[in-house]
Amino acid sequence: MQPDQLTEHTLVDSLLTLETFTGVDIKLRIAGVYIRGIARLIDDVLRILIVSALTALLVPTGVVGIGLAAVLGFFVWWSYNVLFEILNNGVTPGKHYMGLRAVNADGTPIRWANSVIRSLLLVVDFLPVGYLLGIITMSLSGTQQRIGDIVAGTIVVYNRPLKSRRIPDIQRSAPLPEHLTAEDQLLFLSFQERMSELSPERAIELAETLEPLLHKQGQDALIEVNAIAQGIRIGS
Amino acid sequence: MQIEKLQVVLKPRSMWESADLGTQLAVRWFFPLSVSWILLALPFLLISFQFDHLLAQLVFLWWFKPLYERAVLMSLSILTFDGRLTIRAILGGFTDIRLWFYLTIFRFSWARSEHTPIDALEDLDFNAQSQRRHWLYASDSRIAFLVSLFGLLIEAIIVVALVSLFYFLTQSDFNSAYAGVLKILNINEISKEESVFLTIAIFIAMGISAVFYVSVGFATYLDRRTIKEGWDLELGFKKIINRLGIVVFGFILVVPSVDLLANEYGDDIDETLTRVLSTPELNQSTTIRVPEHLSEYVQAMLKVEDVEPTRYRVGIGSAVMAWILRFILISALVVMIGFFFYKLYEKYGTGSASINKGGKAPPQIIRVRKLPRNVHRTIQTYWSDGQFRDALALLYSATVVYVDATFSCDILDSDTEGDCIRKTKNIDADSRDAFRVITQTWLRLAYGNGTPSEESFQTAMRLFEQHIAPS
Repeated sequence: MQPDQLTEHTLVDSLLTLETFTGVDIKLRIAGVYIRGIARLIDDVLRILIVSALTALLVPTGVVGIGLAAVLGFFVWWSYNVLFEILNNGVTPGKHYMGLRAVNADGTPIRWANSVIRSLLLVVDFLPVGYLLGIITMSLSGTQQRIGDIVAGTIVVYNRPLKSRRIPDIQRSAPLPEHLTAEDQLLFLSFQERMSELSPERAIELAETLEPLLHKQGQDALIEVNAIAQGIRIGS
Repeated sequence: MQIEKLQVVLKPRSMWESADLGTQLAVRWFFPLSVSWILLALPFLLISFQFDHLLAQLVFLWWFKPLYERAVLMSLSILTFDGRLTIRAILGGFTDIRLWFYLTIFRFSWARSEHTPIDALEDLDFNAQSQRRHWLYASDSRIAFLVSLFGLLIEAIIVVALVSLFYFLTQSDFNSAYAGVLKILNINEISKEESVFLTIAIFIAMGISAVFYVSVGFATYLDRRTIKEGWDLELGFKKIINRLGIVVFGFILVVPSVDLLANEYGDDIDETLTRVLSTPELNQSTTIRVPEHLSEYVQAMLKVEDVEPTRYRVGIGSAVMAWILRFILISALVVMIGFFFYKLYEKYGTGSASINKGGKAPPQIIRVRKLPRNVHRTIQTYWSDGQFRDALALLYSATVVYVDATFSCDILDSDTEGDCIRKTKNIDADSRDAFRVITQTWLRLAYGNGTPSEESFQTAMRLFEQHIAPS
């Protein structure tokens, strides 16, 4: 392990790196308590609305209706999460709206048993009031897991990619300087993609950081960095 | 700001991910952050007790929240940039003029968590601060609003949880605990002691919430600056230059040196290197003073041969302090071990010893002494005075005491009504039936709030007199 990597591991980050059996690392963006809280709220409101609608429809029909409402209400209340998670690949309506997905802790799709366990244990996470136990365990566990997640071996990740940016229209491409790693090349591409969000002065300042490598300053440095990025992009 | 020292992985994040990062920062440095909050907030808590009305206390505490949060923010920024946490550094954040606006006209600002880092950490004038926050957040304060709302919710949840926990641990039955919780949350009917307890519970909740609130605001600020100023790009570019720089430097340093040495000393490079390595420039030593008792350990750890132990002179004050600390630690250990064995004895020792098969156990004098001299008359007096609960409570306790004394059922103070019924199943049939009827009458009143009829009460009394405690 390189010293750089050692330092990297002690830094605070919300990314979970998993090594797959093929040896390829996948990086999952773990969702935390705030966004999951909103998703939970949406799901709970929907559940309450469905159960209320069933009650309002069936109860006036008599004793059989009351019984049916009770049975169906119970079914909806307890199966809502499980059915959505299994049939919709880990995404309930609340999670869909917030761009989240429940997956197994190894990144694979969630299965019946895991989904049932995490849904049943929502009751425990609710204790003593207002999901306090769940909030505490999520905050304390490095992978933002509530008790249900820990027992079921699941995590909730961001399902939506970060906002894509418009790449500036650049005609010129330049060859890649020697000794640049794949990570360095990604940095050039990232610079090119994020140009629109940087102020022109700041963009030049950043490009000038590479002066010992590119031997260019000011606007020329900026053009050169973009040209290198373009070269990487088109594979020259 | 020295972004090289940042203890956070820099990269563009969404607003929600920034909030998650803030939670992680809060958890990582929860202790120093909460201590800095407490140090500033505690005097305000003490002052708040001077107010007579609970509402005034709480408003006073709540109003000065931006002030305590500033201490948390300064501590967090120092820790995140791997700095040294000092009181002077923390107080540096209190010179900002906008802080006083947060305590007056901006007190109800939802976006405080996001805006405060700009005000406290960037040395800008008033107008520049406004422009900067507009540029950085593009007037998007959705997350700040939600975080504020979430903070309020968490505070409420923690307060209810603390109050409930207190009452459920201190009250003997569920009804009393539930009544206590409802009473304390109704601030118009609260006693002085309860108001102090509630204020402290709210203070604790405010402290926990503040650490997360400030951390999320700070993380959002860091991420916005990373996106808008390309901090991650700057760090990455600098790493490239440093890495490539080392290669160039190494090439210049090593290659000509080897050539030079080879020319000067011929092929005997090993001998030359040995001579070079033995020059004084490459053999500087540093003296480390090590206490005598640690010298062997340091020698092994640093893998050095020449460690010179130093005998430190210990002052009389330090020696006495050390002796006291040692005494306290050993005493605490002894007390803990003693307590452990006492609990073991209490649980198993007395329990097994008091199992009395067959014969009668001596009556439990202490319990009997708790009863009034003439139980029957006292119960009847309570009943006729309309104190139905007291009457039945006394009837039930007297029944338990007499049954336990007569039949040695080993009924403990902690036993529930169900336990008592189970323990009395082997006593004679009449007494057992009488005990069950009395227990049911008591349970209906105690848990169901159902006052028994005159007939039920008299039946229970008759059974008590005939089969439990003949008068």
